[in-house]
Amino acid sequence: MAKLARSVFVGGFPWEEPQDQVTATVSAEVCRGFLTLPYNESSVYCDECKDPLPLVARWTDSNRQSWNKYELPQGDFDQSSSRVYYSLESAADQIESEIPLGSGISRSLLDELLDSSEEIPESLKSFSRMRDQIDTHIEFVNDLYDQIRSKRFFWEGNCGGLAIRSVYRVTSRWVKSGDRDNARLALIVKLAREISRVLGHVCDNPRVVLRRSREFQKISKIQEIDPSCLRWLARQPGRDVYERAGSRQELLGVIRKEDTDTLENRMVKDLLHRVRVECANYISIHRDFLNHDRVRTVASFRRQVIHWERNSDVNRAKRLVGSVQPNYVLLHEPKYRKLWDAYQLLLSQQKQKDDIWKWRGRTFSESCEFGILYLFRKFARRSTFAKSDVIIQMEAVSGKFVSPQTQLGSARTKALRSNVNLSYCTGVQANRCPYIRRELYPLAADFFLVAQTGSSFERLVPVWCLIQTKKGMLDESLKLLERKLSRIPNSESIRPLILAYDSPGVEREFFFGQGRVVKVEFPMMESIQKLESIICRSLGIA
Amino acid sequence: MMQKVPKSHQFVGISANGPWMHTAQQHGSGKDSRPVATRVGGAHSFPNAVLLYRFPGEPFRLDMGEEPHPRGSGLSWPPEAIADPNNGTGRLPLGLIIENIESGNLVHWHQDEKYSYRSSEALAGAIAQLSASEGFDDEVVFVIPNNWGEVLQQEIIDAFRTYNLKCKLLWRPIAAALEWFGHFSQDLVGLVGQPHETVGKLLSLYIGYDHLEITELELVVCESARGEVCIVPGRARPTKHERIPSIGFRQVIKYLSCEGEPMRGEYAADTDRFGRVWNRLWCTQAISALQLKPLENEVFSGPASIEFERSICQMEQLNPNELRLRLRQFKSRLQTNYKGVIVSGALANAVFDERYRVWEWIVDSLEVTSVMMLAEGHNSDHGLLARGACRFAQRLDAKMPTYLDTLPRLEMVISEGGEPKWIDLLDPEQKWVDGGRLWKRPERIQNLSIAACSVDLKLAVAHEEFDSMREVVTGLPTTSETAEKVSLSVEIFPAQGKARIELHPDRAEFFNDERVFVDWRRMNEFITDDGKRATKQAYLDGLDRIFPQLLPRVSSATKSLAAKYAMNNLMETMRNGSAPKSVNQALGNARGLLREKDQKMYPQDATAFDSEGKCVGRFSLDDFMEVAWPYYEKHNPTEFVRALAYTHVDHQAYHEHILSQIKSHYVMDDFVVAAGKCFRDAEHVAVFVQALFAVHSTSRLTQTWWKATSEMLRFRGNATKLVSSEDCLKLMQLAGEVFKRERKRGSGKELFRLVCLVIVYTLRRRAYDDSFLAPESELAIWIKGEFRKARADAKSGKLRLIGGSVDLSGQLQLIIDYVDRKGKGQLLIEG
Repeated sequence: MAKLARSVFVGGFPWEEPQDQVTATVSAEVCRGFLTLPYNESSVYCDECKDPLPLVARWTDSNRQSWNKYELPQGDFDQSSSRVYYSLESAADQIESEIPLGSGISRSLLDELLDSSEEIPESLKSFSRMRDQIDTHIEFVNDLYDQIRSKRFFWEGNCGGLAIRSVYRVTSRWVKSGDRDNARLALIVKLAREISRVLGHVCDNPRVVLRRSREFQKISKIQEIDPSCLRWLARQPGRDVYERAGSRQELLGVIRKEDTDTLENRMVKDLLHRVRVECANYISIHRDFLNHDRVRTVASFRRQVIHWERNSDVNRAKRLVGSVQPNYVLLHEPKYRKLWDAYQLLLSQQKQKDDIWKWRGRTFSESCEFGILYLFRKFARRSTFAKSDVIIQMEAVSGKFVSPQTQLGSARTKALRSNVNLSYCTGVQANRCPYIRRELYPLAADFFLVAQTGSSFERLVPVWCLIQTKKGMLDESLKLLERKLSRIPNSESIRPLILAYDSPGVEREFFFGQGRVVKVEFPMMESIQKLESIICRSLGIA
Repeated sequence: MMQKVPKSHQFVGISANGPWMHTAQQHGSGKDSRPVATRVGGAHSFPNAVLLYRFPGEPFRLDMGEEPHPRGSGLSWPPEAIADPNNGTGRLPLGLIIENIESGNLVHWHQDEKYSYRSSEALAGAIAQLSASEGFDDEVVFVIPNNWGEVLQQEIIDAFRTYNLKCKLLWRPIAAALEWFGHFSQDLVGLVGQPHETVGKLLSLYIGYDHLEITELELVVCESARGEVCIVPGRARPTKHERIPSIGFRQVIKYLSCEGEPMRGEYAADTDRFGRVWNRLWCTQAISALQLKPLENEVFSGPASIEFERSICQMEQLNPNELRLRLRQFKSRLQTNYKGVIVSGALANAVFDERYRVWEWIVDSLEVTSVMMLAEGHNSDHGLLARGACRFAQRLDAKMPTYLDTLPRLEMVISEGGEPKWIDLLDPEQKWVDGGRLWKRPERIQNLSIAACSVDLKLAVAHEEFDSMREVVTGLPTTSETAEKVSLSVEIFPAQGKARIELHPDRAEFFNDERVFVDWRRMNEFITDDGKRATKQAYLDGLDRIFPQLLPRVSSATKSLAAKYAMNNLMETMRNGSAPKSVNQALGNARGLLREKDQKMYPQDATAFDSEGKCVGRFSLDDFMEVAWPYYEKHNPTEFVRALAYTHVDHQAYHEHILSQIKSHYVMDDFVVAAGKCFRDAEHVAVFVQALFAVHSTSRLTQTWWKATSEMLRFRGNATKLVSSEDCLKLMQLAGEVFKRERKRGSGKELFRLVCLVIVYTLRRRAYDDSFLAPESELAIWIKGEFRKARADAKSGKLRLIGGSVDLSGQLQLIIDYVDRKGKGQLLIEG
């Protein structure tokens, strides 16, 4: 397969297009990276992730050239880059290009660093808050996936790896998830309750094996020798055994020692490490509620784990390398089996978090979508909207749990003089939605909110979500967005909205006062009131 | 919400007739307990619907309540909401489900991919969801239209089974009637009679948006197991006239499509009219507010309007004037005064022409009256049918009589004495069977045979629901090296799907203690070799036969006319005691007329009297013989025996007289001819055959003997009953020799044809002895060889076959086929 290196267009913000000539060449220029390529049906792959890059927009420009826009994952360090693989004319000609990724830190490193320091370093504070936001979202969606509560008017169920939940339930649940007084029953809480005794028992009495080794021993203490010992003895000078034993009167003999370096203990050691990090993570999220039962359980569990790590013989086992093929003990010894199951769960959760971390921009956007769904439901208590299905995937794909197959009905609410129909459309569905103007397709908004009164089209709110924004970068790019929006006919009905996570000083109005940059904080429920009034104003339903 | 009560005391009825489903529950059987019906989704619910699934594993879902799910709502966003007549919709409204099940059951929805869905499963899935949420643990009773046959019943029962729902079906008019009984129970106390006596009639009117169902039910006195006498409704088998298209959907669609104000801006263009009307019809409560306006509708009728209406609901609909006309036509089938009238259906209480309710208008059109009239929505709450279904469940549980039903007609082909024929498996002539309870065929169908080494059993069945016949293949658990005799037992729950037919082998261990039932799922339409559907008769004709069907003589109307005149003259002559000479003259005259064949009816053998002694029109041979036989005994006119022979008369004294002559040493031809035409008893035929052998031992058999023999064999089904197989073989041998002689002479004239008939009809002995003339036996091989030679001779011109327009060579091949036990079709050789 021919591989040609090509330079491609990478935008640092969702709305950037090739003709804008603002190609990002280094990580510092990428807030949320997007790759724009001429239209092609084949998938685009990147070294950083196993799934194809998610397609976020498709449009045809004024020169009748069709384009695809794909979102890029965040990098793991400051000057991250990756290779992307794609085809242009035919699928057989695969092209690869080196592209910059947004700067960042890998999830495992972040967890290690945050766990190892008592005080969160300044440089990691923003990442720590991002981690809290993302983990909260993951826990929320996992809870939603695991619990089926079908009601008479709102059917729910799981089918073929997809969970169908009504908007009614999703939003009801989402409101409660923001209530941090009720610390989440996360996996680590369950583990703290279920495995702490078993783990303690194993750490106190780890399974050992008797290992033969050759060591110098006093002649009188030697109980066993083997051919190697004999060969060694034969090579020593002297006429008899005592002369050959030398001045220390020691000979090489076989000795049997108890050893904890077994596969199962290596697994336990690794489990201890991962549990400790996960505990720290949970406590960090709920640091304001340290007196909560669950938080205290986890904190106590962490202390125990640290104690076991320091004092248990398990610590003498070597580090676990690569993936583990469980042995007989792990599968059939009751205590180890329980720990093995816990280890698998933890591993899978951490893998999920690692994967999602790369796509934190998209996950944050999904989190914002739930917030908006909650507001829509609040605006219109009875409507097809509440009955709509939210389709949740078992595992996040490119940072999103909500399947692109989700289709939400409209919400009807009352405005000043008339009824208003509110519609919601995700960015990828924009092409199919009759209310979204085609000029908005290239801007790759995360989602759109539409308000209609009677037969007339009233307001259109494209929403972008940015999790890692720097003020200076955003200032520059906003001007570009304003120019683009100004070129759209009847742009007075467009009310752009940018939700920026935890970015101080970004809040402002733009686009002649029609647009807003809103800072969203963790937990999101705390920002929702502010968001509600802005959305109401944007949609004209105040 | 209903309180949960102990399992055995909860009765549930469900009715899905019309836009809303109703459920009724009754707790316990006490005197104070009554069924309470609720509309699914509440009183302000939009029309209920089933949401078709989008994802693998997603179930069918019931949509109800005040706000609909977006799927298939007709709006233009999101994509799953779009309703498009070409691509279907994701919403299957309950109001269309029954019609969909009746017309092929499949619905399609093309969103990203095209999927097909079975409406019955969609309905069952929705009820399963409802049952789970409402806690219906027990068997539910589901109301079905009165015209649903076994196939549709089975379809819905199978769909319910898919969802592990225990369900019984109940006819719609019966559900209505049971509620009527419940409502007027006090007024019916004085109504008594003898068990199974009809004490009056109840008229059930179902007025739905889809159609009207007008059913007369008999009020029958019934005795319960505990000896209590009560009155129950009796349901006759439905006729096609009982169902009339309604005006409901047409009215609603027209009303909605003419709505001036476009809906809330979702519709930018007129092309969205379908979506808009669909949304208003199925996702809002617009249908509840409908007022029917007859005059306005006539104005808006037109092809475009009908086309649009059909795109939304494909069922036939009428305009009010058309309906009124149909109702007036129907009036003649009804009586004017009924013991009771019960009106059910979602459209029944809708406002009509601002003055009436629809049911009033319809009752007025039918000109029926009753003092005990109950109308749903008027003097009975909505959910009447569901309540009736609930009452049925309660009565069934209490082992009380529920209703009386009639069974459908289901026939099967069996071979009786080698003759295939259709028999009724059920008992459609039986006046009443207990509704909801098992009916068993009194006796098994015996003497069926499974061929050696068969892996399955094929049954040919004809059902009144199908125009053509069907074949059911039932797999057998074991095979046998020899033929196995089996019998069939038949049982059916009226209105609960197909009959259950079990195979019982005579050798008990044949099925290894397994129970084998006819598998109706493996029933297919029977298609003949030329790719056509088969009627019952065509199927019989297509079967391999081991002997030919009888070839009786038929009566010709034209010949009868003249013959009757002559016979009446003859009778008068004899009654007057005229001289034998003049009687003989009259007899000669009559004989000429009686023996004349009607050439217009060729190749049928038609004379004035048929082979059973009957003629077209009014003439009694018995009356004739009352005059003629005494005269014959007194005067003995010579022409009498011969002339009477052509009437094929069945007169004992006449037969005895012929028999006595046949037994004698010398037999006149007249008596031989008379024996051939008139003998009916198997005993007489056996005597005749012995006489034939006696004659053959002394002289050559004349053509008259062969003709008489052939006539007896082809006219009388029991002719070979008392002739032993050895004698039959001897007869065939003799006939075969004559055949060979004639063939060698190159003469294919009457004698040749007569011995052909004797050979082939002697095969009817197989009815009594299945092993008679095995195809591989020496005689059979010889006979077949002679027939093949005759065909070859005829082809080469050595043998001149005279058979009129009949292909005699082909008929010879047919005889060979019959000898080989695989004959098909009627022989057309003229005797």
